[in-house]
Amino acid sequence: MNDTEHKRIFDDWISTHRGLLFKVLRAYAFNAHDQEDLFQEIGFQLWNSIPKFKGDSAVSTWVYRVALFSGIEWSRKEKRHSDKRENLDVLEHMGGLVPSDEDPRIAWLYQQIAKLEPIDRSLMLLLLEGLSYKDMAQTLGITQNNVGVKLNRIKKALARQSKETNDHEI
Amino acid sequence: MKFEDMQVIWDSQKDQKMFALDHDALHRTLIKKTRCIELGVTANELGMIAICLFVAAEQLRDPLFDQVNHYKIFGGAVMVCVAIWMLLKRVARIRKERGFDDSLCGDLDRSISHVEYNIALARSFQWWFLVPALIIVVVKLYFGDPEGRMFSIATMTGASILAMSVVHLGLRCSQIPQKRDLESLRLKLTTEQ
Repeated sequence: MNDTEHKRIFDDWISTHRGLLFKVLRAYAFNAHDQEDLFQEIGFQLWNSIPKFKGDSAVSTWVYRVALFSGIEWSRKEKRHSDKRENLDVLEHMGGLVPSDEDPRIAWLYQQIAKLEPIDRSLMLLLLEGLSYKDMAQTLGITQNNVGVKLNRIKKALARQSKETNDHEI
Repeated sequence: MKFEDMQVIWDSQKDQKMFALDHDALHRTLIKKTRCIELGVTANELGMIAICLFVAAEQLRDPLFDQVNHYKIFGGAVMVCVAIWMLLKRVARIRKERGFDDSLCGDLDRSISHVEYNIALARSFQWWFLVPALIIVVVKLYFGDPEGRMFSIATMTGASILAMSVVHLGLRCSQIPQKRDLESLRLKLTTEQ
């Protein structure tokens, strides 16, 4: 694969799955600088994953897996990242990653997701995106039964969190 | 709030305006980062291989161009063997890391395997590098000029202690905690709870 082809595939993946990446960014990084940093990390992992993609799974599943793994790994190294941050302005309006006219309930939902463990966040994102248990199991590399058990627990935790939140906050 | 209500909120994002993206800046950043990371990942292994080959060349220079010196041939051969052993370990690592499953769990396994490789290399540092290096120095001291022998012993001891300290510091402060974190993530992912 030559450089032009590599860039073309990368641009295509990024453009097509921008919404997906946006959601992963917001679930794992909570300010503009961190989102920029995580976006670069996801971009880097996606870029390097292109030659490994054999088409056995859907591109969206592949992109999701790479983005989620980057998010989880990034969260693990978060402390280190906050010390060595480089702003390269790849996202043209970082202050605007979250639209000013956004429905406050969306922000609230992201806050609830952010309270989950990094692994659980990935499951929650996949569930909200409407992936089947089979696809989730394939993306995560665990059994469908495990997916079901985990999601039950996560849903209960989210329901509990939402009860604790006052209505005016939502 | 029920999960179904959360799903409705989530789906409402579909109409949301997306962030703008500067593709050229992104390409530049990624190419720069890829080069940096590749260099960082391979620097440790290739750096050690280069050091071994440099020491071997240094040892073999006199026997090849000047006069036959058996202890130097021995020393050079030892370091070439260490370099080949490291190269084979590197090839085996790359092959192993390619074999993991294309899933989040597979990604974690790959990362764990990579860290385990680094830990094993650090833990056995004295056997694959310090001992061969010390053998060369000891043989040289035994057969070589007795003048400056004490200085050589002191330098060798100091360098060995320093090298071991740096390797163990890296193990304790970076590699072992990294492995623990990754294993904990993997456990959270795979445990049915």
